[in-house]
Amino acid sequence: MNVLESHGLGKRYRRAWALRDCNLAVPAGHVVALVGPNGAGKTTLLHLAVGLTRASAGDICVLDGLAPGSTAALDAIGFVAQDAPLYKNLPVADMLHLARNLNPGWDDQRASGRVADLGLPPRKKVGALSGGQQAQLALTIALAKRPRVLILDEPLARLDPLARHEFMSSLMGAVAEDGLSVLFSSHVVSELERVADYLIVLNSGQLQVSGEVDDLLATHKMLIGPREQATEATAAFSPVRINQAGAQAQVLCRPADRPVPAGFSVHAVSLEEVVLAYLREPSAAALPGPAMVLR
Amino acid sequence: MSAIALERARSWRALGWVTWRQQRASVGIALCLLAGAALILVLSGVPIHHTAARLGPGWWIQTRRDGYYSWTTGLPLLVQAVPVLAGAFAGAPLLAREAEAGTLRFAWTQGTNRVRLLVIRLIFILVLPTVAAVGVGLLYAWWQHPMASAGVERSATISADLLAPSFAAWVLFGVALGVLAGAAIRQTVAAMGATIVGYMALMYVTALHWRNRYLPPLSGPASRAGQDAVSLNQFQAFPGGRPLTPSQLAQNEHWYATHHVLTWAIYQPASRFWTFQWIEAGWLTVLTLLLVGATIVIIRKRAV
Repeated sequence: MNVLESHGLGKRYRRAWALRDCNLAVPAGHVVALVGPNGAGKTTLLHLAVGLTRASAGDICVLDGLAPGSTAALDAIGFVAQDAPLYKNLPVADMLHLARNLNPGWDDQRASGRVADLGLPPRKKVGALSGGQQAQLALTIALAKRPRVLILDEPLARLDPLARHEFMSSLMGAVAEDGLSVLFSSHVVSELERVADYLIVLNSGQLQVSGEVDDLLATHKMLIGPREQATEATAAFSPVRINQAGAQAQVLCRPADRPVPAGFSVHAVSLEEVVLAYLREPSAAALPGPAMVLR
Repeated sequence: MSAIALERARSWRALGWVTWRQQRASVGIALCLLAGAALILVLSGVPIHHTAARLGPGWWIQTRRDGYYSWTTGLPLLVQAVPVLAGAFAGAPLLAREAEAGTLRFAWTQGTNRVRLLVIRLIFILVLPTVAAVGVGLLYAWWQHPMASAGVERSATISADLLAPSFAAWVLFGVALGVLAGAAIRQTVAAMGATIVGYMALMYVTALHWRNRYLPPLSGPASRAGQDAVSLNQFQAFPGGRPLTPSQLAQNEHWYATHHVLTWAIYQPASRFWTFQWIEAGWLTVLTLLLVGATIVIIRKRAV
């Protein structure tokens, strides 16, 4: 099953394309990180997936054929928008009661249990909670829907490192408990390796990378060797980025099983290095061939 | 009751709670405005009724001469402002404030269809103030009764848009216009401004050009039109209604008498007053439904 599928998906705001020609097939059961710089089209893609925005071109469906925004899709997706918008003038208890009344599949025990665990005072107004607590409350509401997919837009952006850690551990706890799929966007590229096992990189509205983290780490290598020969020697290795610092050149590439050129050494790369290399080279791409995008 | 019907009833009740919890402030604002209007009418109406009862049918002329109650003609203006204020302060923020705060992104991604969410909110914010407005309209009829029975010309004290049917319809229209402006503009202050401008424009055109022409006016001798008729035009004419030419108008009284010249009127008879009330309430209600429809179309199509 695919949690998210798109074909030729595009979204235009007035003149400019926020997202263009996006072909995705994200299988279920992953924690998917959607990475890209500000303005890359991350929020647009997530809003398309939850039905808050309509596509200008192409099509998109979630959970094997559900139309985004349909009642079935709304029930199956727990979404936390950027900055975790909640009704700030409501007390925590009323906010939960409101969410319960909006969601037919609401799990009250889970919601109240998590709120108690987090130590959120029920009488306190949502707006008076800290940013971390608001994010946790929004996650609690999204999880209490008992969704099959959790979609989070920049859940970490406004959190301090401690709150970030706590948020991620409660998210991972929920994933382990329910086996649900998660799709979250982030412009923070460190720490991704710990949580995500599937990566999507968007840059300037174009899809650059889409694949499992293990595959990406297995196929991408860093070749280090003499600067003068770098471009020529690695031309056949699908180089993503050649970084010429001093006498040595670092070439992030996909050598496959080809023999290493003389004078070069092979090194494993971290996910962060892969992401940064792609973001710095907007023309490079690591996408599954058309055959892998199944209808 | 089947399981589906039970579930549906449960969910409407649940959504009712949500709407009440969120909209009670807006509905409260509208109801406070209407209560304020009712209070003004009661506080001023009691002494008017008292004076009218004490002095008899001539009370208006007597008190007028002494300068009392001259303010009564200005009072309807305050009540007239209620529907547009309800539209601006209760209707316009309904969607605009949520758009500004970003909470539409929450509301529209829960397990409830956004159109359903809007419809139940509209029921709250349209029906409750409209019911209250009927009460204010009835109170206004009571308030102006001493003036009417004292023979005060209707147009002097009676604002046709303050009696129950059309006043309630204006409240309905004002709030629906506010909601549509909020949905289309998505900024509270701008939506409030647009609501006020749009409402005033329609109100102005209606009062000046439409209200007295819902049916073709009658024409006849002014003496036959009756005191409460709304006169649209009057001129000197021969019996039969042919107007005098400018040179004939310059003739002397003797000429007038021999030709039986009389004052001719184009008018709406007083008997049509309530018919016009219902016509105005009717087209405003139809317009309100169109505004609600437009709001739903925008909500369905629009991205956050």
